[in-house]
Amino acid sequence: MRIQVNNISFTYTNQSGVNSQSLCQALNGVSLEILPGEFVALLGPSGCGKSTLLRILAGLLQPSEGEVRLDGRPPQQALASKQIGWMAQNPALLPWRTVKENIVLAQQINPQNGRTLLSTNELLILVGLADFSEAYPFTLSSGMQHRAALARTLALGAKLWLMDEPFAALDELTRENLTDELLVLWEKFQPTVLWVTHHIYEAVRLANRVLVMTPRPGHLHAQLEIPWPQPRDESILKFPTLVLKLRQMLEAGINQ
Amino acid sequence: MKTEDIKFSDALITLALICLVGILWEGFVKWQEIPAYILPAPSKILDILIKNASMYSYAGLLTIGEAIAGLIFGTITGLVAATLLGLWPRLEQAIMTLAILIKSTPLVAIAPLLTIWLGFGVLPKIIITALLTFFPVLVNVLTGLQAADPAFVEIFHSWHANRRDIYWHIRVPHAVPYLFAALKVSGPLALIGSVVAEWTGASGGLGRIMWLAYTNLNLPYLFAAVFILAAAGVFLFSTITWVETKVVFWEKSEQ
Repeated sequence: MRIQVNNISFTYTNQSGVNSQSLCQALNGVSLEILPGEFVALLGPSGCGKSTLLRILAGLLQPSEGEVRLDGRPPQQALASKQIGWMAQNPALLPWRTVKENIVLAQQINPQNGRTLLSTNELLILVGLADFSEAYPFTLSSGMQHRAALARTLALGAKLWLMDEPFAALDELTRENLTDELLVLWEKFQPTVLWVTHHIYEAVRLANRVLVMTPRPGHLHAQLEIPWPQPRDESILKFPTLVLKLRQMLEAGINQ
Repeated sequence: MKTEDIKFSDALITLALICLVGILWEGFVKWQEIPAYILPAPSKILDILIKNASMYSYAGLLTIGEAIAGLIFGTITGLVAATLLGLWPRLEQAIMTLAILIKSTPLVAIAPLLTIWLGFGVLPKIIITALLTFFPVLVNVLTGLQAADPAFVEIFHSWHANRRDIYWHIRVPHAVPYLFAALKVSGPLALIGSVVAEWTGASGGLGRIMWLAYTNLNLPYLFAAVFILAAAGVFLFSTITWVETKVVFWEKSEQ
């Protein structure tokens, strides 16, 4: 799915009291284009409006100015036809449903006729949870809960994955395992991925391209192409060089 | 220790504590030579209970039956009101004002009225109990419906789910633990409701026995009824708690 963002701004209005309105500008003039099948990381300091940008792309928020096009259409249309796989830090599995029932729900709600979807069993095998289909989320480790959430995202058969630091709450080892598996899934299904993170190392490991944002009001400060094939070898010298370069870009954006 | 062992030893401790209180009470009454019309000894009360077993079991069943019927009736009313408010939030002020009005009208003021209008039968007792028990259910369930986790709601929005889906799959299950929290309050309240309603005039029940015993200063009879009520309260509460662990299986494990 091609993402075109044209000069969008977003201002939060907090109604506090009767007349007082505090305004908080989260985004200021963001423009970007992402090609179908790209894996793009969105890197920025915390509170810079990364999540706001992602919510606007998902059609969950309306930009104050500017416009967004997903394959030439407004995001609400992509949302209505379930073309957007949304994943946030919280796996948000319903505790009263088993892993399998949670995944099935993603397909049952607002069903899209004529789309071939993977079966629950196939999905569970893909994320390595085949033995846990009848388990309730609270009996699983947090890494497994995130696997289940990933399976639920895959269950939609969406062409765009918007991921808001999905594994940020996990320990480093689990996170690396999961991102490796996510890359395999990305190569298998070839969705467009926009991956929000504040983890520079992770961005270099995963993305074809890294977009660097400034602090609030956020706008794009720089971008970096990483044309290396997957899986990436972290022991080569240019890996830490790139991490360092991104760190300098981030700092330049902060001190701007 | 296994869970069953822990439960068993907990029950033993509870029983031991009750026995201890009983023994202290008995000893105190005997030692101070307190007359039965001030404070009867537990042995005397149990003696009365056993000798009048059929009278007490009939009265107890009647009162507990009224309490449970009123509790069910009140719970359903509370659930219906909470559902209406959950679906149409604009009704909130109107229904809540009415609910608070009913809630804050003293029970002892309505009970005699209902007895005059509806007679000495079970109906006024059930209505009083329902009036007393619907409020905790309404307030708690409404809170549960409104306090659904925004992370769930956001995921559902990303699927373009409609309001009905969000209501059934997120809000309603989320309100179930709140319902049980309300029942733990309104269950014991239901017993109070039916007994107080019986005081204002009844053809049977523990409340009637208590009232008759009180006017004759026949305290052992009064205490016997209190014992039954206390046991019924414990039974009702633990039944609700037990059902809760079966229905709301996810709640305890999350904490």
